Amino acid sequence: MNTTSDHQQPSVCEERVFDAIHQEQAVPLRNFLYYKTGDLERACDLAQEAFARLWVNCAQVIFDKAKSFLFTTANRLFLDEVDHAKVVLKFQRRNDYQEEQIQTNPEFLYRQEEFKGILEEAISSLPEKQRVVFLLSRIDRMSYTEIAEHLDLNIKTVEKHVSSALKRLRDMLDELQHTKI
Amino acid sequence: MAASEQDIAINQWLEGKLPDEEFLAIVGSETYQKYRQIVAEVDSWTPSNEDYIPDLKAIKEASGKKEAKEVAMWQRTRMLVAATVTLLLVAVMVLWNFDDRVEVSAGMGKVEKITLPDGASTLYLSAGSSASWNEVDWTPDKRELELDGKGYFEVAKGGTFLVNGANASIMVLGTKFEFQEYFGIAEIVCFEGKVQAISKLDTTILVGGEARLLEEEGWASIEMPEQGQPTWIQGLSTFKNAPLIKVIRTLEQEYDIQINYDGVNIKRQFTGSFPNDDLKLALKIVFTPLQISYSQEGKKLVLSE
Repeated sequence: MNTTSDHQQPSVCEERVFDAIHQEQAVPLRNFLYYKTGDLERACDLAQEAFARLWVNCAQVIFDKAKSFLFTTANRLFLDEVDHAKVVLKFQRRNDYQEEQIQTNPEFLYRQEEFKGILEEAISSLPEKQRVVFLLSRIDRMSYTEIAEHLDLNIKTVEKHVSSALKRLRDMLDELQHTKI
Repeated sequence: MAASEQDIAINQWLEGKLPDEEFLAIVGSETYQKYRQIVAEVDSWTPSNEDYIPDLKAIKEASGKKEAKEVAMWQRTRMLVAATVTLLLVAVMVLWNFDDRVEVSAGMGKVEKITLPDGASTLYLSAGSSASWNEVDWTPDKRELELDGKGYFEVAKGGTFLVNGANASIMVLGTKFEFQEYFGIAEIVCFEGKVQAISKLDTTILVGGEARLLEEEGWASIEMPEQGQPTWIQGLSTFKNAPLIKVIRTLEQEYDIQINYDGVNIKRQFTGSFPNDDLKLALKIVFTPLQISYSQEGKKLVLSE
C-alpha cells in the first residue's frame, strides 16, 4: 500500500497523481468540513479551495504529505471564517447501504424512526474534535492511523476521542430518550 | 482502572479487533446493545450521496491558468519520468511488448482508472482484471482492445469501439457500459447509449438500462444490477439476484484470496452489497444470510454448510 519514503515519490503536479488524490480524498475532505460546519455547501466550497491550494502549491508538497496538507489547509480555511454558528448535522442513508442489514439488527432498544433524529442531535452537540474524529472513523472508514496522520494528532488522542464520543453519545441518548418520552 | 480498560475495549471493538462476545462480556449486555445500535446507525450515514462533491475541473480552473500552463510544460519535458512515478502510485503494471502492445492490469483489491489512447474514453478496470491494446490500432475510425476480467467503459464519441473478451465482443458507438467474463460467463450491462453484443451464437443490441448474460443458447436478458455507475468504482461490490459463483469470484479478486466452495451449493443467488476494503464485514454480509459458514487460514477460505 504505502511506498516507503526511500522511493522516489510521485509528483503531486502530475495530473494523474493529483486526479487520483482528488478521487480518493474529495468526499472524506468534504465530510470532514461538514462535521465541522454542518453546512454541506460551505463544506464543499472549502474543500474545493483546499484542493485548489494543493494544485497551486503542488511543487512544494511531497506526495506523502498531500493528504495532511489538504486537511490542514481545510481546517485553516474553516478557522479563518468568522461565522461559526451552532452545528446541526443531518445525514442521508448511504446509497450502498442495504436496508435489510439495518432491519435485521435484532437488538432494537430505541425505535428506528426517531432514533436517527435523536442521534443526529446528540452527535451535533458533541465537542467538535470528538465529533469530527468519531465520524471520520465511522462514516469515512478512516483508520485511526489515517486520522492521526491527516489531522496531525497523536494516535492515543484519536483513540481517546473515539471512545469518549461513543460513551458520551450513549449517555446523551439515555437522557434525550427520557425527556422525550 | 476499570474506565480505561473499557476505553481500550471500545476502541478494539470499533476497529474490529475484539469479537462481539468478548466486548459484551466486558461492558455488559445493555451497554453493548446501545453501543451497537449507535454504531450501526452511524455506519449507514453519509452527509450526501451525490451532491456537493468538489469538482476537479473547477479546482484546476479556480487555481488560475498560469499554473496550469506551467504544469503542462513541466509535464511535456518530463513525460517519461512522470509516467514512471504515476505507475508507482496507482500500481498499474504496464508492459510494452515488442509489437507495441500495451497491457494494463489492476492488482487484487484495486480499481484502476485508465484514459484510453483516444485521449477521451475512460476505462475503470476492476480488481484482478487486465486489458491490452495496440496503440497503432487506434485510429480516428477504429478503437479496439482486449479485456480479461471486468471493466466499466465511458466511451467518447468517435469511431468504432470494440472490446474483445474470450467468449464475446462488444461494439459501441459512444456510451457507458460494463463488460465482464467470469468462469466462461460473459455479462454486459449498458448504462447509457447503445452497444452491440457479439458472440459465436448470436448478436444483440442493448440500449441504456439493459443488461444481458451470455448463456448456452445465446444472449439472454437479465435484470439491471445497478443504476448510474457500477458501485465497484467507488469500492463497493453490488449484486442483484447474482449467481453465488459470481459473488465468490468477486471476493477472490477484491481481496486476493482463494475460496474453496466444494462443500456448498453454488446454484443459489445473492442480492446485496459489500465493501471492497473490509474482508471480515464482506464475508459476514455474503455468507451469514445464506447460512454458509467459513474458516480462513491465511489467503485460503473454506466454505461449508
